[in-house]
Amino acid sequence: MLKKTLKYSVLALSTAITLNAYADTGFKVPVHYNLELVDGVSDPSNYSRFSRMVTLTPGKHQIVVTFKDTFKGSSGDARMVQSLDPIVIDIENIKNDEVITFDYAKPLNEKQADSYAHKQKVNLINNTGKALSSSEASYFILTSDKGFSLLRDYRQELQSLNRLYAPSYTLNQNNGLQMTENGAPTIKATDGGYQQTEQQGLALQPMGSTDTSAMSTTRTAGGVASAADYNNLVKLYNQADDATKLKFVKYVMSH
Amino acid sequence: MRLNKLSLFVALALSPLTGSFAATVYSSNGTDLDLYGSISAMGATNKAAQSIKTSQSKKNLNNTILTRVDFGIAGRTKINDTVYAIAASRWTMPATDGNDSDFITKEQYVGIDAQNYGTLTFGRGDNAFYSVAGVTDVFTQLDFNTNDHYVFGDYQQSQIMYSLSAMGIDFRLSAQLAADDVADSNVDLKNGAAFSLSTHLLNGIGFSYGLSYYDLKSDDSSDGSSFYADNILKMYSRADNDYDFAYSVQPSWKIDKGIAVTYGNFGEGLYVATNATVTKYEKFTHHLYSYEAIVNYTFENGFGTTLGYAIKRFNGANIQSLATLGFYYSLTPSFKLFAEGTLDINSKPERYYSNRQIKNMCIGENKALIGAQYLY
Repeated sequence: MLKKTLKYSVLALSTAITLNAYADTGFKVPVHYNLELVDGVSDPSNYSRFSRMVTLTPGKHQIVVTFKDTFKGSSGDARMVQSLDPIVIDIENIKNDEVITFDYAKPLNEKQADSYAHKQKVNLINNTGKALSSSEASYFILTSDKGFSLLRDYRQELQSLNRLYAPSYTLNQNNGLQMTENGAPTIKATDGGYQQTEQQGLALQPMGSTDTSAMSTTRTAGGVASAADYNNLVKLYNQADDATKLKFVKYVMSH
Repeated sequence: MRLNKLSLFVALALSPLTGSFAATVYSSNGTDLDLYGSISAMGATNKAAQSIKTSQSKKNLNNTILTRVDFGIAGRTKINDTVYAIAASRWTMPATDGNDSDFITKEQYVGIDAQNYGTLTFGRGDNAFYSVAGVTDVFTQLDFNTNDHYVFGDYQQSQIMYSLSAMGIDFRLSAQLAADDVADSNVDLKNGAAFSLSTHLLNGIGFSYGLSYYDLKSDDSSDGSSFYADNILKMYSRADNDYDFAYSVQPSWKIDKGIAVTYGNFGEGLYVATNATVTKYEKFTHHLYSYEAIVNYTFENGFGTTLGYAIKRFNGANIQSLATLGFYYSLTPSFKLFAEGTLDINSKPERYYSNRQIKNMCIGENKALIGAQYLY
């Protein structure tokens, strides 16, 4: 019986170690940090809690993490320490087979954790240990006037600063009329004001040489834009932040 | 110190923040207010249930489920660019088999944090010697009690603590003023003092040295109820009821001296810790020695395991000798599963403890428990 238990224990341990291995491309969430957003999406399916890896496609990404864990105190009991302000990491162009993470002076105890939670000085590195330049990745700590941690909405705060990168996330996507499992109608409210009406993450599709999309209505009386010019415009549009996109859409609508 | 449960509930009800459970609840303009704690439930063998620090019952529970609630509040307000006012209090409601449980006050202090110039607090907490004794204190419930430092409990009243961390060295100095019934141990203190020096090298190795002194009040009772009466009768081989003799040789002071060596950070990969302490009581026939060692490994995915061994020696005998094994899994920072077991390894507690003490402290017994903990 003991032999069998030991065998299963070793098997479970081996599995844990195997699953702990790095994935090919992505962001590794350092210990004591918790993942909040990946490209504007909370609880993303491409995050493995087991390996602490967010699998990413090559290109631009934004990661939001918070410092939160239990630390040994100066007396017998451990205590959870949490930073109110998250770290926002903008990855400009992650390469294939590159894993980005950060290192920091890891706290030894509750007091050091308390102190670190107010500083959060980190160094962004990749899987080779190389420090990343600001053109490769950068970070900032997202602070807020809202003192209560439960009132923080990191996504809305980033959006209000025009710093949210969320190519696939649509704000208010669940704000329409929905039904509970008991059949009662619900509408989800947010406190984001008029900004909530933005088409967050709106992206246009480039067209081929023969493509004639609905965007062809943007043609001017002076002639027809070439596909190359059109694609350049689409590219510029998709690279812009959401507030600029909205401003552009309003400009187009008013002309 | 125990608080009436109702009084604490009133205090909580008056707080506008009681509904907001998070580690950091409020932080703005240099003021932080944290609410934190945990709720635990565990199934335990009867000896484990009787011995763990969160249990008040000493009856035979014949395997049971114990619960425990911890609640803490801490404040921090900026006075100027370098000085913060700080305060903290923490209570535990231990498990009982009845409905009349009290809250036990744990740490409780007010002070100032001058950052690079150190922190000064007044109130209740462990003393500076914890830097040595606490390095092996990593189990969820079945922590070793072999170090004689814990004979007065792990939270003592009437403390003044100064701590300074600079240039990789952590210095702590504590002074304890007069206190009665220290941690409900039936020992009264005139005063006490302790200091510790710790350093953590870049290669992950840490060293600590500490010393703790207690000036004990003379116990007026000669009926055998004094804290050391049973031990004195044992070490002097006197009759069990020779309390007049026990009264005549009661110690008036105690000194703990110890060193600790650690490797790594607890909670991140490999953590190894060991400590050795010698305790001298005035008029005791021999010194008490304790040796503790633990090896912990915590995986990044939240799995962790700890193996520990501890002995307490007196007059050439292992009066406590035990090995403890624990398994842990933190699904999230807020939710942890744990299982711990302690195996007695041929200890001879009767060489120092009376039968009453052995029964009350559950020394020399095997123990096991399994539980879940929600932290906030």
